[in-house]
Amino acid sequence: MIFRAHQPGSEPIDIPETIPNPVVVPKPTPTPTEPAPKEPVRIPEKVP
Amino acid sequence: MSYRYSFEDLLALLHGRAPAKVDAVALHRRRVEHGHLSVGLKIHCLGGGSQFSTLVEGLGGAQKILDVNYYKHCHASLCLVLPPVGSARSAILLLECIEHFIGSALFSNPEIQIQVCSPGRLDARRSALLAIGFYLGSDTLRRYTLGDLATSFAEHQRYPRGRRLVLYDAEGDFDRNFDWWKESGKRRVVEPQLPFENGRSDLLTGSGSRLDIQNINLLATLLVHAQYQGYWSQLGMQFEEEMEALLERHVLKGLVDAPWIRTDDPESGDDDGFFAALQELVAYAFEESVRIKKKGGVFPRWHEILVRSSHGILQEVQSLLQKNRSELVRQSRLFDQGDPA
Repeated sequence: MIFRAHQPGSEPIDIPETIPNPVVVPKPTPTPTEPAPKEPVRIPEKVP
Repeated sequence: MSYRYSFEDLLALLHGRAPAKVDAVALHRRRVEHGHLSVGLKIHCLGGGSQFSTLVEGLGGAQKILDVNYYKHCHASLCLVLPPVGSARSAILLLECIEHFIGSALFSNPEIQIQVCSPGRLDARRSALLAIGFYLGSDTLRRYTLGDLATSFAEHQRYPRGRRLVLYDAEGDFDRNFDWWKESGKRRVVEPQLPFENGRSDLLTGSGSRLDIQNINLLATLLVHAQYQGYWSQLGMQFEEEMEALLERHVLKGLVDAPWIRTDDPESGDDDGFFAALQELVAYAFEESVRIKKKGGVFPRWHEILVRSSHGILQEVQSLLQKNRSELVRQSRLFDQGDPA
């Protein structure tokens, strides 16, 4: 959301409600995915 | 903290969409990491809340699990109370499981307000340090209106909580069954229960992040242990001193005296006094952020050096949190290896 502060005769200033903290290194957000289910263990067929 | 459903029912419901994560939460639900405090969560939904319909119905319906709680953010359509878990890691995993289930984001979502609940009521000074540490340590700098902090208990007759970032509980249900680390002589003793029969200090993060949950858990652990003589009391008291010294360097120490929490003391009921202090903190942090960005824009190659060496308040708080996080883990591991640290 943006607040607009207008003063007569001046350029409108956009004041953001939130900004990123500049000293926090953003960590990549984990994508909301589940790991794929493990494949069933295959038992090798006995060689006759 | 009332939730009229079982943790097992919640996990069973979520399992279909996020089996691996749900299994991890189920396995570690009560596991406390390095003597940190347990973590409770409340999700306030400021939108229509339709994304929660299936979840709410699956847990027994709105009447059973939502309407039973009078407490919620004033602008929220619903407040979902989650069962407490043993660590910030499990709390984050649980929220991720719910994200999978409802198909929309809970972290950093302006429509979702996350309330992080910590066991133990902090006194007024420590509540101030919790709120200030959270604000300056967050990955987001926020501007507030007093209305952003209004809940259904702001003017409650029996439990007036005011409009604050930090709120006490209203003497609802309390789950004590989490490990509490305390010191006996030179020994670490792990009690199977928290030392309080009731009482929490909650923080309304607004649109919260994973880092916010981790930071609040660390801050609350240090402050609660300092106040209730837990195993981390010495580290907690050292943190308090360093945090107050940091605020003093920035001529902000007077902020700690503002009523950051509404207690039984009638003088703490001054919402405007709290909000003036919060606004001063916000203005200082935003100004610092502009200064850092300007330096970065004009002297792009100097930027990193300046940020590292300027000792601005934002950088100092990050360093303080990081130092305490590492120190707590280091001492915990030293003890595990037989050295009483």
